[in-house]
Amino acid sequence: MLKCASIYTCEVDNPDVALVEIQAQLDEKISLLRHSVGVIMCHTEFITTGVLEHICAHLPFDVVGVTTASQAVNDEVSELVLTIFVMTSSDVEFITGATGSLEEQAGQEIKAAYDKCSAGVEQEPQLVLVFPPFGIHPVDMYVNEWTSMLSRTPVFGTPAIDDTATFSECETIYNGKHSKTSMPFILCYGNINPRFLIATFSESNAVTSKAVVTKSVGNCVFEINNAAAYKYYEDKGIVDSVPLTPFMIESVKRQDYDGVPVIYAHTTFTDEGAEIFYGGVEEGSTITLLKYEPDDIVSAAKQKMELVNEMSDINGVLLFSCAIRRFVLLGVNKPMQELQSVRDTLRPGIPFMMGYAGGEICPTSIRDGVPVNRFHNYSLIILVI
Amino acid sequence: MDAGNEHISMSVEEYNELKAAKVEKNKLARELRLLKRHNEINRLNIETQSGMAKIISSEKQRQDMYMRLLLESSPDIMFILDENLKFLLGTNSIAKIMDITDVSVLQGRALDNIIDRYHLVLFTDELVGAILSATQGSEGISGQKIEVYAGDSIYDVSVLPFNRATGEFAGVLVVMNDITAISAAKRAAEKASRAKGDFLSRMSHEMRTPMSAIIGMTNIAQNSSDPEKKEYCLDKIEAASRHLLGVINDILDMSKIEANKYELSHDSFEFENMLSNIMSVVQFRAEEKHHVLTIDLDPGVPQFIIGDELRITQIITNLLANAIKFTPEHGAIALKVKNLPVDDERPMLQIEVWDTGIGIAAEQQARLFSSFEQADGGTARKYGGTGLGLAISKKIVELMGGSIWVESSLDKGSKFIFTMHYEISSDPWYHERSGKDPLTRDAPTAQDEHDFEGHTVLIAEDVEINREIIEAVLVEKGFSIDFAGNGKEAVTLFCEQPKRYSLILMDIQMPEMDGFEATRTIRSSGCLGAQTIPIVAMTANVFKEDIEKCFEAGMNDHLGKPLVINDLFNVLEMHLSTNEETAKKRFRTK
Repeated sequence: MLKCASIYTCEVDNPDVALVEIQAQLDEKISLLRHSVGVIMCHTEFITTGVLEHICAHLPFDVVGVTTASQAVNDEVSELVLTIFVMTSSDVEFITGATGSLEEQAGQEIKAAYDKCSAGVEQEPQLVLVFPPFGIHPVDMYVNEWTSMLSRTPVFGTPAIDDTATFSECETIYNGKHSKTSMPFILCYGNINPRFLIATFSESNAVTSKAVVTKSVGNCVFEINNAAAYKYYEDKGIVDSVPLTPFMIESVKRQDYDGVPVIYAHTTFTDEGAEIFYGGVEEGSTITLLKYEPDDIVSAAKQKMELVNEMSDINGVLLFSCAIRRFVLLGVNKPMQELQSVRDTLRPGIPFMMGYAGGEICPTSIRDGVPVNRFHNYSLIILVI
Repeated sequence: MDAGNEHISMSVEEYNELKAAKVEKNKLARELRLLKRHNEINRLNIETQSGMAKIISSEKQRQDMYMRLLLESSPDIMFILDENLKFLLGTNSIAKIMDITDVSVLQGRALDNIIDRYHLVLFTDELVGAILSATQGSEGISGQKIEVYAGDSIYDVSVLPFNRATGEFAGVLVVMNDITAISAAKRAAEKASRAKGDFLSRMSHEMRTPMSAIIGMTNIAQNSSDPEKKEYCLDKIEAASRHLLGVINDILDMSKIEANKYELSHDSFEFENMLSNIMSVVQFRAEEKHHVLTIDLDPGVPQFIIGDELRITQIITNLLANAIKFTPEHGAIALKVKNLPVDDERPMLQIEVWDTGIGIAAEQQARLFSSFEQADGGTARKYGGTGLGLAISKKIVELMGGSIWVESSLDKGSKFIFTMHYEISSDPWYHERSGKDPLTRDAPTAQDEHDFEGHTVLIAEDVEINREIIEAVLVEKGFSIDFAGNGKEAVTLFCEQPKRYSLILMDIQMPEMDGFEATRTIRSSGCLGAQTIPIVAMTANVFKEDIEKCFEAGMNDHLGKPLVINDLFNVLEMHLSTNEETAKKRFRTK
């Protein structure tokens, strides 16, 4: 049996008041069972003022998560808020852990942390929630590391972000401690049935005609349409006259299994004229520049919530949406619209927590019991348990 | 309260106020931070939007340019009408039909207005009807395909309704592909196919007729005990065989022409001698019909010229044979050869064949030189013939750089004229040979009386009936024969007893080892006489390149199948005679 609840506080200055609010909601909304854990997201201000540490120190379960920008739970949609998504169960065990600094030997650190947490457990977990630090390594590297250790386990999560334009202050959170270099995680063992949905930008918003990646290695695209990558953009008048920034939804897409698209954002150009993306790009992937439409963001979220509503046996929903989607809505002065749309559309009574992400980790499909774990950009990912 | 090292005294109220002020200050500072962050993000948003706007504009310009290029270059007539049948967009091809310079002048104009204004025959009732039915609602109508006949042109037309994203009807796309040329080509191809079909049917008849005679006469001869009757049947069989061979040669020539593989040889020969040979062949046929046959040779024609004697003979023989065939009894036929004035470096002959025959109607003259057609099917039925002779003659003449034509009218006779370039021969060796090469053979003279006793010939031939024929012919002349069933056996037999054989007759297509390889093997074997023994090819492949292949393999001479007995003995005579004069005529030795 698995139960979920989402609790929050907007009290950013007074740790004691914040704790009282959290505890009151906890008592009201959920009776804790044998195993419990909390996924936490909060504004960086809660770290600065000491509220985060104070709350975590007084909770009877581990708390794992990241800083973020705006968030939504059942009872609140706000920018300055701390939210905790509580999971409690009698037949699902939650084991939490955190890596050391991932600045060097990241793969070894992840393995060591996992080995330590899973020592004595023979089976693979049914679900892993991961919260990498932002900007140290390409996130799909972490996804690949987890997948190589746990071939039959779906991996879901998001890197930390904050509400700055450059994510300069974001941190990961593990039991009140915050870090810019460590990755906390939750291993879920037992009777848990995770389901996943992904929403991304529509190709009907393409501004440029599609081009094809004809030569690439890992995250690096060397050639587009059989010419040097940089030249493709030069010919379109981009780069020199119009610098290509991550804000522009210039995406490369590959068709994953079952036709589910995986989109990666542009990072930068190398001195040699190759283009670096946030994720691994296969040859044959298509590149296009998308014109983002705020209405598309909101309607996509609404459509996915309608699909969730049709599902059965739902205990709770976790949502992470790409920060760029928030930026787009901020540009039309509606920064909360996606969050509100989710809260307004989701069936009442289903506990949920939604925050903004610096990249999205979610499987695109489960094939013969094996999840296809992927890192995404510009997407809204949804975990239904 | 301790501010650094200094103690500050204040009341609880003051402390709470200070604390609240600090909290308020923090709040304000936080709000300021948040505001700054929002502003920073908004600034980036604005930058991004500005950049995107430039990209969108640039991309739109590019797409517009591509669209213009497509519309200007497309050979098809394509246009789009909106839901009210007003012109939206179209290719330049429609502008050309309307004789306007810019298709954009049509934009926004209703279809019926355009039709009225430009009097377009293109918009037939059928096309307009198809467009109108497309506008009735695109549900259930996925597009129509029709053929439109507009003036001299034929169009393959697709009329496709299209919808908006909301599903409502938005307009019609019309694509008109001019298939006039394709239709004409298709009709021509169908006509050619029919002509080929008729030709095949005729050739089948031409081949089956002599075959029937051969089979029938053979049957009669087998069942008759009367020697005279048998002799009669054999004569008929021989005549039918020759006719059949002629038909086969015509068909093979034609197939070479169709495949562009017809080549001329380039040898010196005596022109007058060639004419004499031709006349000796056609004379008796002319005499049978009591025709007067004359020949008029311009003294300016050189004695020896360089050209393809066989093919020139073929043309003249064909023209004379036609003249004899199509001239009623007691007619007149003349062969005239003129040397034309030289206006370039290559001299030219003009050869004419006149007759007082049935003549040819003007409309039939156009078809005379075409493959697969005789002038008139009735003529074919009455007079026979494959109808290929003139087509082949035309090809040969054109390869010689000349032309062929006819001047004729019904019942008033015909004159067939052809011209051909030639070169004057200056090679003395050729002059001494009296102009004979292995491709043309004389009637036998002293050969008939030559006794070949003591000569043993090795014959490599895998076909039983061919062995029987040649054995019967050669044994009668005193030859001893050894047979080999394939090239490998021939090599073995020769190498075991090289001195035994005077000559080898070598078939080409044999199992295990063909004639070419057997010849190469013998020549390189090192056996006594391997280099000098005459090896003569016997093969159904009689084209120039086939003969060249024989010589390249190391053979000395070539005989075509079916064997012409006179040719066989000429070759045997040439290669076995001890007479010096005869020996000079040996075509090649290796």
